[in-house]
Amino acid sequence: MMAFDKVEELQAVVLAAGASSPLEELISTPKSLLSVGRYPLIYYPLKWLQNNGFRRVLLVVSESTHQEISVAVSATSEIDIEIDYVTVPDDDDFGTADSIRTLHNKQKLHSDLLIIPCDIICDLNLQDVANVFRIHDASLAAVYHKTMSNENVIPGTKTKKQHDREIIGLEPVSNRLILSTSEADIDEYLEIRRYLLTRYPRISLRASLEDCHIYLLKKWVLDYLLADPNIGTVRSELIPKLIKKQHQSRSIDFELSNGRFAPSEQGHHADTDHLNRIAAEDNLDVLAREMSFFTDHNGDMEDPYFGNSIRCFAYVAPDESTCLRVKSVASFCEVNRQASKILQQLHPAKPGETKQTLSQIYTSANVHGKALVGQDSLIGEMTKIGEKVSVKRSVIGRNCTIGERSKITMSVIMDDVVIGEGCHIQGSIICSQAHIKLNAELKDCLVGQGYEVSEGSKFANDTLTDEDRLIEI
Amino acid sequence: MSAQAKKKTGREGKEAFKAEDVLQAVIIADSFNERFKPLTLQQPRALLPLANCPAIAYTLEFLADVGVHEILIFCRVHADKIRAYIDAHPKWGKKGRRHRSVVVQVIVSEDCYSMGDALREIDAKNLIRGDFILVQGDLVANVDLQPALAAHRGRRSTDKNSVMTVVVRHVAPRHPARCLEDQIILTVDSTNQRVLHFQKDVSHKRTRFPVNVLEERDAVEIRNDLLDCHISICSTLVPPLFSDNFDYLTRDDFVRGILINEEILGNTIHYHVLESGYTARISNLHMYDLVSRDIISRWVFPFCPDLGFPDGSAYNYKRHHVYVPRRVVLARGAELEENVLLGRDCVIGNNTKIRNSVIGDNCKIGDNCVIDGSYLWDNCEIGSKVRIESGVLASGCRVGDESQLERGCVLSYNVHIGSGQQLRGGVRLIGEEDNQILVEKPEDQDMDTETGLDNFETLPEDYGSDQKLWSFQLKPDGDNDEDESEKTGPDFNQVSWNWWIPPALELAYSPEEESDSDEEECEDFTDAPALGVHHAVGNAWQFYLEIFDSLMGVTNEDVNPENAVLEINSSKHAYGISMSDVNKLVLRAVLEIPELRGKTSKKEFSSSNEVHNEVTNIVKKVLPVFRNYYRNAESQLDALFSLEDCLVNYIDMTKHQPYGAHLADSAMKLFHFLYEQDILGEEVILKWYRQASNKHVEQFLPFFLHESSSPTSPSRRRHQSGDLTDEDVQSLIKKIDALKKKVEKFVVWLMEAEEEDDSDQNEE
Repeated sequence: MMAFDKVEELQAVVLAAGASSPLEELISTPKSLLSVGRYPLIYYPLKWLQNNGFRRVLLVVSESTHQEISVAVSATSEIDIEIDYVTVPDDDDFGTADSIRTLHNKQKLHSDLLIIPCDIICDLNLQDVANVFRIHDASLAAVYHKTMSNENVIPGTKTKKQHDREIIGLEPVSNRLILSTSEADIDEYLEIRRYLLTRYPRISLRASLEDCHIYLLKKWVLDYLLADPNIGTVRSELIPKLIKKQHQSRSIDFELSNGRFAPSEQGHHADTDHLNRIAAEDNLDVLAREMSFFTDHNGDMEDPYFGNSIRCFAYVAPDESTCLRVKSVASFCEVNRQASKILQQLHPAKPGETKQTLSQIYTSANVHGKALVGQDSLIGEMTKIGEKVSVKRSVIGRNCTIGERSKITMSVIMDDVVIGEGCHIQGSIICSQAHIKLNAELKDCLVGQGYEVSEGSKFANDTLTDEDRLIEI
Repeated sequence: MSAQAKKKTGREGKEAFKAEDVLQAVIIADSFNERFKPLTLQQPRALLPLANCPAIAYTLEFLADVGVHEILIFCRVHADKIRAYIDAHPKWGKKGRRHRSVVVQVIVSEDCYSMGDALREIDAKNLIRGDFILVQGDLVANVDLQPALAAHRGRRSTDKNSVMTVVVRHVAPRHPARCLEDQIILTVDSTNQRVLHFQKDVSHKRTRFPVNVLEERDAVEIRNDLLDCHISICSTLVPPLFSDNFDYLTRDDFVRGILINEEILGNTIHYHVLESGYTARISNLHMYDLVSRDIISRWVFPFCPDLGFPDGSAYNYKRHHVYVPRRVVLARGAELEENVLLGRDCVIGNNTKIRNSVIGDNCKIGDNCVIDGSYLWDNCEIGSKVRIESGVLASGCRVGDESQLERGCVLSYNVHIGSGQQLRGGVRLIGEEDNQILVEKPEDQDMDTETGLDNFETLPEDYGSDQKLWSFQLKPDGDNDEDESEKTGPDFNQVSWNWWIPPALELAYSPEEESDSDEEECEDFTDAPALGVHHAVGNAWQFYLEIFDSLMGVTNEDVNPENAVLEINSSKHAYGISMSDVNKLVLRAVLEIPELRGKTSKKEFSSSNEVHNEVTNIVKKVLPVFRNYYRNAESQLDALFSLEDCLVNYIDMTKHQPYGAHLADSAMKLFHFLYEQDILGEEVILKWYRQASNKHVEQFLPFFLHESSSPTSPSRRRHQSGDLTDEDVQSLIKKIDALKKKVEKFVVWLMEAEEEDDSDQNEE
């Protein structure tokens, strides 16, 4: 640890302690170990950080999954980054903010934070995000990406689509994050305070952007987390609070910190008060800004940033980049479909190396000469693929056996799955150890771990699980 | 490109050419409101002189410049005057039309009460042949509309439902040209310049935007940086749409209506943003003032007086924006300081100073006058030593020697003011002619009631005139109290009436903006030290007065102290005062009660004993209240600081003499008494005593510190910003030390007692 002479500008924290998995009905694997492409999900953020020059990462895992994750990560030879595991209790109420507090208590934190979830798959240039953070000396820089289109059919039982887009208000030039709310929270009208409109005469309201849960946070935010133990999660409590509080002007902070209105016994105000005092900027920074000609807006004589010491900015990822969170069945399917492309991006071909490192088919896999494997498919180790099998836009895991004449399209097949002869599998997710017998046809289905699909059966838009087994869990 | 497509564009091109062939414009030369009354009693607003040139001349010249071929002037009141003006005009009149191919047509309709009526009339008369520009007769602009017209035509060629393009200018939110009445906030789709929501309401602190506009699209923009130019490019569909819906009274109604019915009718409104150029409407006297200054300071180039636009008068342009025509008599020492426009044949007397003003033709101004920010129309006569500040004097006014017109006076036509008169600010005077018009024109009054603006009244005045005078004023608010409850924002009538006060944008936003930002947090927790400071202090003062009343009730009328507690608690929530401040204020109030009682009963306190007795009597009465508030150490400490604040500050305040002095003298007794009554615990007193004096000052309530100055004076407020000078603090600290000295004996006694207690305990 002491090997670094310099303190890093940013410390990367990957939060992998979360319990919920999009496929929790089907398979008991922790979310961070769900296999995407041919790697566990956790591989992607780690690889991304590595590609962006991080040499060290703090990985927050829950006590129960620590072992499993560390084994899986060390098994992945391509991760060459120092991983500092931090365990947190397996408590549902133990939020992400609590995880950050744990990190602090263990004295792991000493600079600004880059917080990323374990389920993010992206190829952004982190430099661009950091620049937003640096240019404005921001308290928060959050990454937003265009929401995934919902055109594809989602496998499994159909559920009603929910209308819960996030609405964010951005200043169009600087991308300052002025407000954020969810469509579900607004009835018919969005209320914006008058003075916000005066300060930010142009507000671009975006409903198509999704929070990628990648946050760059100033170190003082940590102090705030420590001061206010009520904040449980980063995403749903801390970030909205920061966004809301940023518009308070400094004069009040000043007044408060002057002790004129000393914090009364109401903890609530002590807290507001606290945030402002904690966020107070370095006097030299303020002085430098006051003496410079810089301003972030025009049309009035106000201080830059209107004297706000808390400033939140958004980085809107370009449309062509990939930035997906595996948070639902739909996104799980989507990333798997894009897996081969994403892997290509994560492994930039080094000089002297052929693309062989990224072969779609492991050499240990046994693919029959007369089988058709599409360019956009991945086949795992030791998998046997029989004669005249066709695999298109699918990912097949390890140790699978696929019988002759089966057709697999747009599907995800996990490890140790046995598929009989003549099966048609389309747009489905088949979990580990499942057994699909002769001539079964599955369309847009979810098949649970160890489930057996009987011979010749046909299913469409169904969730097939061993219910007894689930109840046991 | 396929042959078919080519053909199509060819045909469209032809159509576009046709439409372009005759570009029409409609000028609504009636404002349908009464912002300029009484100046509009004899002249339509369109003919009011703006920098010595009728307002409509600017509009006409602008439209001709844009390339309009046919201008329809729609008028109602004083139509004859507008017609006469146009007919006689060398450029636009029937005999004129020298260089231009612009046809000006005057349409009169006596029974129109709104712009909507006018457009319905136009529809009925079938006067519109193609796209047209809709403006009002008081528009001053120099913008290039060609891009907007081209954009509009481009849209029309592909989308027949695009009925109107609203032209807006990009300006900062606090731009002076943004008249409070004309604030617009547009919600737009910037990808296709479509207006999705139109808002023209500044009265609320929060602005509401419909979310449904986001249903069909991913991004919209809310723009508060646009100035409504009041130039609308309309398609031929607009007049029929007005005819279809009689609810459309103004263009704004129309825009709103179209947007609401968008889904049903499919019509759309677009906007076009101009990045440069000048546009403004003289929609009220404030804008009149502003636009006049802008013209003089050449913002509206080429409409500068010396360039002969728009009326062809010849001026010499001198530095500091002074315009002087050839025939003018300037006496020795007459000073045209800056931003002055003089009319022809003016006579300016000795040592007269004029600045920021427009003087009409044939005006005579005497010696030693000062005229600042004022507008004198033609044929005015001003005596000597007259002072006029921000006034409007219509044609033919006379002001006698040594009269003074305070800010905001408006003299209507031919009003004569005698010598040595002092006109109070904001008065509007009318003469006999105007009054005749008001009396004789009941139908005009009808119209007023219909538009809901019949809120003027006239009162006879004197002002040493040789003729009868009336003052013309807004009726007091009580008359239209029915909608008072709905009005939360500024009253535009009131605002435009007070035209000489810079537009109170602040009224709409800032003063409480800071408190606002925290409001959400405080909605549930009303005791809010985090509230904006101004807010808090104002509130605290009000709150203090309420506490005072409640406690007075307890002491004088034997109200149940519990009720007083209830009252205080409820007003605490209403005013958003923190608990600690409540603690301080309650004690403060109790200490001031004897003083007020003494005053009312004309009783002089002669000794400190007397004062002490009085205070203890009152404290005994309000004891339950004290017990309720001073339960724990923290609140007791608050009380103690307040007591200290009071004693320290009281001492040298003349108005509290001699009560304050006696009270301070009896400080130790008071401490003892409060200690005995268990109001102040000993630890608290000791803690207070041991704490450094300079820390105490921070605990004092800011608004009492400068109480010696009058309650409304700014100095009292100054303190809130924390700029108590070091000297102030030092003197306070000295006083605190003195006070500590006074109670030293008592404290020492306390300490000894404490030690005894300790030793007792040790023995046990």
